[in-house]
Amino acid sequence: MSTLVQARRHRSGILVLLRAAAGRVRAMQETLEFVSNGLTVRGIVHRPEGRTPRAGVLLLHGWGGTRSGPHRILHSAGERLAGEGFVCLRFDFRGRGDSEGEVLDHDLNTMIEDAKCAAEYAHVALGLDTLYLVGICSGGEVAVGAMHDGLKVAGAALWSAPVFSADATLSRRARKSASYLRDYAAKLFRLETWRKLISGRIRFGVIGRVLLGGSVHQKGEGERKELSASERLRGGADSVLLIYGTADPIAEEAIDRYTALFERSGARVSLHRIVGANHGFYSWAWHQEVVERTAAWMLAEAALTAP
Amino acid sequence: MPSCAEVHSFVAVEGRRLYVAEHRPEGAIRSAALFCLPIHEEEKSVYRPMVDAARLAAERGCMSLRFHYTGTGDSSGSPLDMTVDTLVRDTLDAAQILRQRSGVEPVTLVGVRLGAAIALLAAERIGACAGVLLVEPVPSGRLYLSRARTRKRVRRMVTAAEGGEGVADSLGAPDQPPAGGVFDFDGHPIAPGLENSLAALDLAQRTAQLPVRVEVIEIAPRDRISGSVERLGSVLEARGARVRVRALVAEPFWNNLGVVHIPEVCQAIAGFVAGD
Repeated sequence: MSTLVQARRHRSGILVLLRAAAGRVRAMQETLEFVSNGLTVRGIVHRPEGRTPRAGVLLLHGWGGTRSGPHRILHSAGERLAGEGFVCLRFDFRGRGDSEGEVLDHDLNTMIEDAKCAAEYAHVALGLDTLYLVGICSGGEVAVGAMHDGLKVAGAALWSAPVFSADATLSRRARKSASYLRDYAAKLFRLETWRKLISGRIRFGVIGRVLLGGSVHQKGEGERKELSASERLRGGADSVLLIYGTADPIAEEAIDRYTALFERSGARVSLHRIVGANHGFYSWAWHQEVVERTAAWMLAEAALTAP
Repeated sequence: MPSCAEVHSFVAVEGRRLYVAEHRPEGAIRSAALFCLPIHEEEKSVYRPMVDAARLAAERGCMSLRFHYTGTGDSSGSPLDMTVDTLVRDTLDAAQILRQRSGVEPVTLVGVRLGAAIALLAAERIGACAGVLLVEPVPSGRLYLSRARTRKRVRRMVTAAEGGEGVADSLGAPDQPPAGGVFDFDGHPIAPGLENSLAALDLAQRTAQLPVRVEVIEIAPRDRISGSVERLGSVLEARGARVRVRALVAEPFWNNLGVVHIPEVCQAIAGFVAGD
């Protein structure tokens, strides 16, 4: 997508957002349950009150998270988007949060299955024909996986979505390790670190696993290779919004891969970089920027496709 | 699949909507336990292990209730209005819901990290308390805030500048109050109300009698109890509690960014609340 088109789309989104702010509606939260492969998936539906929904939104959490997301960002997004007339579904994948299933029995494949079940539930039980996906970190990978498997949506917002680990390059792993090394180096300045060192409470095994590339986002051996090698999506999205922090070590490779993948699939791709932000957007200002940028994009898209 | 019935719902309490999750044993209810989570990012890491512990407890005949404090998770309200008092108030309200639903009195309280401190404060006011289990308790709010600021400082050293903040940011100097009113802790706003009430929270200074069974579990790399946890145990004994303090060898799961799987901690919790 050209810069000109991006700029026009941004302006359009902001205009729509300003118009909508005055007419924002109240939203209600209700509990949600559906069955995925025999196990109960639990979550929350944010419903706009007193108006016909614009569309449905699936909010997909990350690998080790819950339906609230880091610093409750998925809750904020659900509230914000429901206030604009979108019905938002936040749920815990199987083996996570309140949902059934054992923690270690579930991986990206089962998360993708759950997302597809949620889409089916939104369509059949809630009557939502138009759907958007919003995924943070591995939730973004899940969105891509569901679209690869045939899910067709109006739009997908990927927040800090990494490329599938089977596809990660050596340079990406090196960047992540360097980032963690800087983290540990900074901790050397802390008195608490030296207290732990003296009292034998430093966990060298954990540090070693993190620096050698294991541990933090290891997602199991069963990750499907075809997701990494995918040239085309069987489903897809009409429009995709990528949001990454400039201090996220996985950003550049992921931006390259996903821009190419979605443009090949015919989607309009927008990129929003948040200056200084890390992978989890761990600041209130970044939190708000992610939510507001996504709301503006979604409102603009909904306006484009409105009958 | 858990061998218990689980009901998830919102309960209206004095203008608030609390999210509560109930784990009911298939057979007779022999005891009842209320789970108190930590707040901020620790809540995310601790969440699933508490679900697992509640399910294990239900298998042993203990009905459990988990809940989200006002302004956290799915409950209504803003985190800007949160204080230690609102956390304790929500805990007491949730205990009342548990008593009504289970028909059991007294109930047992379980708290992890800051949730342990909240559980202990609630136990002073709950009336009928069968016991309190404190897992890796935060002994003072001042310490919690100090660690939060350190953590933010480390992150800023790594990422150069926190979101949108200039040189005079909201962090403040070490041990100084933050400028601008609201302290940004990993994307969670800590308003002055919470900050001030945390600064005043010190479990070692509490003196109210607490004649109940209390177990303190310290999560440690070795089977050895630290001096601070030993001191907390002594303070609780002086308040009339029947105290057991022990170390449990496990990873510090409350800061884990990945999937948390700590069956040994979950078993310990289930054993305590089921009265094993």
